Amino acid sequence: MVPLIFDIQRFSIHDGPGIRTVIFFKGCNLECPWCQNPESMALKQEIAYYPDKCNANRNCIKSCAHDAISYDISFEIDRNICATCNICTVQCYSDAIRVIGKVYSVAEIMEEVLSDAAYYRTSGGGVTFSGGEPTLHCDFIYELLLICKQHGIHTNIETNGYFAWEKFQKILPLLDLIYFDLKIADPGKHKQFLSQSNEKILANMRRLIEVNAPVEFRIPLIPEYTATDKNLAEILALLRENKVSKVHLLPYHSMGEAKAEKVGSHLPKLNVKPLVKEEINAMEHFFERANIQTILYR
Amino acid sequence: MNALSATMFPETDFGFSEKERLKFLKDQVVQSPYSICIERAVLVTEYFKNKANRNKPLVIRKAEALEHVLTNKTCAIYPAELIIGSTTSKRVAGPLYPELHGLPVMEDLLSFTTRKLNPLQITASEKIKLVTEVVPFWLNKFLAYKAFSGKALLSFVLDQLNPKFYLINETAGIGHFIPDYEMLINEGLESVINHAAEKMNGLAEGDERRDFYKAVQIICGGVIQMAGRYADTAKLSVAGEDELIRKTELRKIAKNLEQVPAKRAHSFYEALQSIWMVHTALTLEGLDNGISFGRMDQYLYPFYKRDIESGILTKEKAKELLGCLAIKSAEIIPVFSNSISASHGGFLSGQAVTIGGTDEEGNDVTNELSYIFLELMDEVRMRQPNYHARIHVNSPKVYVDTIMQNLAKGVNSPAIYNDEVIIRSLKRCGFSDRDANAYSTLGCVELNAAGKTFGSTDAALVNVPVCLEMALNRGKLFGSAVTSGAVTMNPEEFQSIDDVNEAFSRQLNFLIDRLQKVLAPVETGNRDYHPTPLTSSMLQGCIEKGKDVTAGGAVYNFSGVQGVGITDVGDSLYAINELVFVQKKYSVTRLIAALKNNFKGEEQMRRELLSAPKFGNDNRGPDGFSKWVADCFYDTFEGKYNTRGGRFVAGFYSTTTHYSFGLSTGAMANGRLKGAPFTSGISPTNGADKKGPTALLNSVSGIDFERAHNGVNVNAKFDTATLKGEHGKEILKALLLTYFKKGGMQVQLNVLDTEMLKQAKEHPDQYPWLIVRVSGYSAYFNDLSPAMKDEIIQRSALSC
Repeated sequence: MVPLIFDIQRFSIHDGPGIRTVIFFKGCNLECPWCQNPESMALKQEIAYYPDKCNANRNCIKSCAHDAISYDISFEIDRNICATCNICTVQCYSDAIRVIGKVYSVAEIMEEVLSDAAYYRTSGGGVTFSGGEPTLHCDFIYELLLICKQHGIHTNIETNGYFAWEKFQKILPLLDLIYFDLKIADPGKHKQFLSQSNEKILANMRRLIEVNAPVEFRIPLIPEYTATDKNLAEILALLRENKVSKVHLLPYHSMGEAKAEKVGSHLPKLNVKPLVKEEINAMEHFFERANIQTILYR
Repeated sequence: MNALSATMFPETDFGFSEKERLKFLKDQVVQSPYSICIERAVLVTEYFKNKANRNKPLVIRKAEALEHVLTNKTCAIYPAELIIGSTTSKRVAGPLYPELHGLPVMEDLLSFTTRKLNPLQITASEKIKLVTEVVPFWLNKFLAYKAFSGKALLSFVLDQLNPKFYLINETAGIGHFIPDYEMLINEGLESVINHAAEKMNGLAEGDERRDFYKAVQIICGGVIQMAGRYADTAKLSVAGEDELIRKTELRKIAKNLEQVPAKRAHSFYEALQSIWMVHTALTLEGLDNGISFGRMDQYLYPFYKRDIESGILTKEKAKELLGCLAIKSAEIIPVFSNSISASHGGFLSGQAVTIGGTDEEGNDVTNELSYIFLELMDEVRMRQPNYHARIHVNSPKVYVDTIMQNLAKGVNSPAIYNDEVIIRSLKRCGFSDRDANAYSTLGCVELNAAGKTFGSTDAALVNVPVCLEMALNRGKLFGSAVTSGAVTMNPEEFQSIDDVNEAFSRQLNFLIDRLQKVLAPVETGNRDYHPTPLTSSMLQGCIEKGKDVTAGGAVYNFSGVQGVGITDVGDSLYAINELVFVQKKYSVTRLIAALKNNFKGEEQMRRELLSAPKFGNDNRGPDGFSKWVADCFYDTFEGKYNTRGGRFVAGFYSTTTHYSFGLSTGAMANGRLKGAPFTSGISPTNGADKKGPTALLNSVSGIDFERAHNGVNVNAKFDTATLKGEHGKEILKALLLTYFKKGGMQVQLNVLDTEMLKQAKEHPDQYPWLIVRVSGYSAYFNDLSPAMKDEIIQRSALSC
């Protein structure tokens, strides 16, 4: 299967050390209700609609051969009928309808990545594979990694940890850094909120530590879900059990919700209040008191 | 410690601390209304009206006229000032130069106080005085009137009032240079007078050189007299002063002015006072606003070191004195007519200070003063001076780090300059290796050998996109019946993009030829009607040769011409090639019809043109076209010389002409609508750089900057959040140094938060201090037109 890329972001400065290029793969095997990139969840191409750009000239309706688009009060696209032929996106003058997900060859991605090689060298940066869930595309990433390593480029992957170890093993030796998400410690809650149990994730966590992989753990701080006293205490226990001494904390922001609407995602609105500064600081102190070095993303 | 030092900086607990003084002075200047001062205009007119002066040689008359101004002008000393001297009778004001800018400014006199953009205060009685005494005398005598005759004059004035093709700044006088302040502080004006007197010896009566040398002596004497008048004022104010500390300060001020600028400076303090006294006089001689200070950290360092070692100066006191001088430089504002304000928004001034870099042999010469300047930029944030930092591969790490720290935290100063590229560039255009190694910056972004160059670096700005418009319309502007350019190939016969390029290149050559022809009489007009003996005494070569700077007296001579809208043209050519010649989606005829109709009924075409790849995204296609346009622009100046024997050199900065030129230019094939602004400097068109700063800088560094001898302006915009903390600083450093390694020439930063800018637009009264980099210079945000504010807000929202 050829993976779809939904974005290549250059000058990314919060996805590992230095100046980096992040490759965002489309498709994910978990369904986190707080997802910040809901347009990355589905493996297939999707049509996204940006209402603030729309000038309601209805060219999209005229151009759609499948009658999937209607515009009575507002723009509607029937995603069951839509064949993602993308003609409407071409006909839209105002750039309000766009395709999410594009096929890139290894060479195309590497051309983009290598353009910034000089910046990686001076800043200690490199390339980061993100998503979606990049480990769904280990074979493809392996090819990219081989070329990165030929050029001495630092490599990082951002994973939810829900991967098949055999597949991941192939890319592991070529990775300089692994950002591994720890979301919910309790297996039952994990399954309830994220559609899958976390047993596989925890097993992968242990194995990575066993083999001395360059792994760092990241906790998204989602009010009512992950950022509860109980869950954080359980995660701390996990970290201690595995002798982990460093953790990244990523406070929730609600930007993902606006994006979800654009691709007609079935994710319901999260309806949580973003954490206030004091709460975030308290969580940072909670880990620091336990002698865990914390890196807080503000 | 000698006797002087005891009175120099009294060690008491009274009076201002260094920082308090700077804050007080800054507040005084920021809160003063921008005004017009008629003093210079009245005094100059008085001199020229006097029949006794009529038969003297012109250069003598010019010297005496300025001397008359200097010896009769107001000599005010403001509270708490340590560096003394003003160009005008008001705190923050612009003088008038009726003999130079003449009518175009005068016609706006009545509206200065009420105009929306950059209003200037002038009282009713001042207006009456101007209208009755000054204007009638100069009506038929100002420079443009003398340089051109009859129809040529009319078309020149019309061109300048509504610049469609180019904007000529050289008519405004010649104030874009770096005086030899190093000589001034080490030798003094009396030595200049002596030098001129020696050279005059033996020259026959009637020899032009004799007149020139005489003029030099007169005007240097005039400056010395002015200093004496300030010294007297200081002495007089001692009596009226209650504060003991201020009394001591005033005595010291008087003492300084009895020594300098006549004689060499004994101390750091005297050196600064000497420079400032001469700077104000130079500003009153010529009209343009780019008289720059050069490498202050270099020529002041021996004075600094000596004073620190002898104990009469501390680092904090040195910073305070430099701060006092910096604040004085912000008191000077230019008076532009309404139409020129549209081109040079925000009271454009270009008094540059250069720090860091290498000596003549190429060794790093960063010193303590360089660091003091970096601290000063942060502590006293004002619109002037323009701070420029030279960086090379051997610059100390701490120096580079401090610069990056300033930029990351939003000081927006200094702009940084890449020595490796610039030095190579300057060698290529005729500077000696030693002079190139020791170069200074001046004005907005220009590059020169200090004290030796008359570069007329701001001679003109050219509307490059209008050449493409004419290429697509056989030498006519869209909708015009008049042929303004060359009659090039009929567009219907264009077979490939090469034909379009060829037509564009011919139009550009035609326009530059025309510009050169129009500039020549301005140059000779300056020479014949506006020699500048004071400027000449501050530039090496003039006294040697006995030639005024306007006649080519300086060691180096150039004329700098700026290309505006380079990437607009590059993107347009790329889009034409893609859609017309490669994909064959539209015929040339249809495209041109759409452009003429401002895309009415051709929205689909416009969208396709807009979505064609653009310069600034590290994409070889469009980047290649912009590089080609830049090369084409350089080529047009090959073998072209001004009347002073200096080469024409190209640069890419736009001040705010990208806005005014844009207003009069039709729709373009990059999707730009009729009347919309062009891009600023050599940046991508607004919003077109979608891949972030690394891609942007990769595209920009593809331009061959070694041929941009006059300098370029590249703006990189960040929001405050991106560059926060140590992490942000390190990222910024890696980014900019890599850009320099790739061949970048210059870059300046705006670190702003979009919300802050929107707020500032809503509530201007709450943001009087907000400074933004416009294009090679800083301006108070509130001084910008609403459209320019929007542009800056839009820029900040789009950046990363």
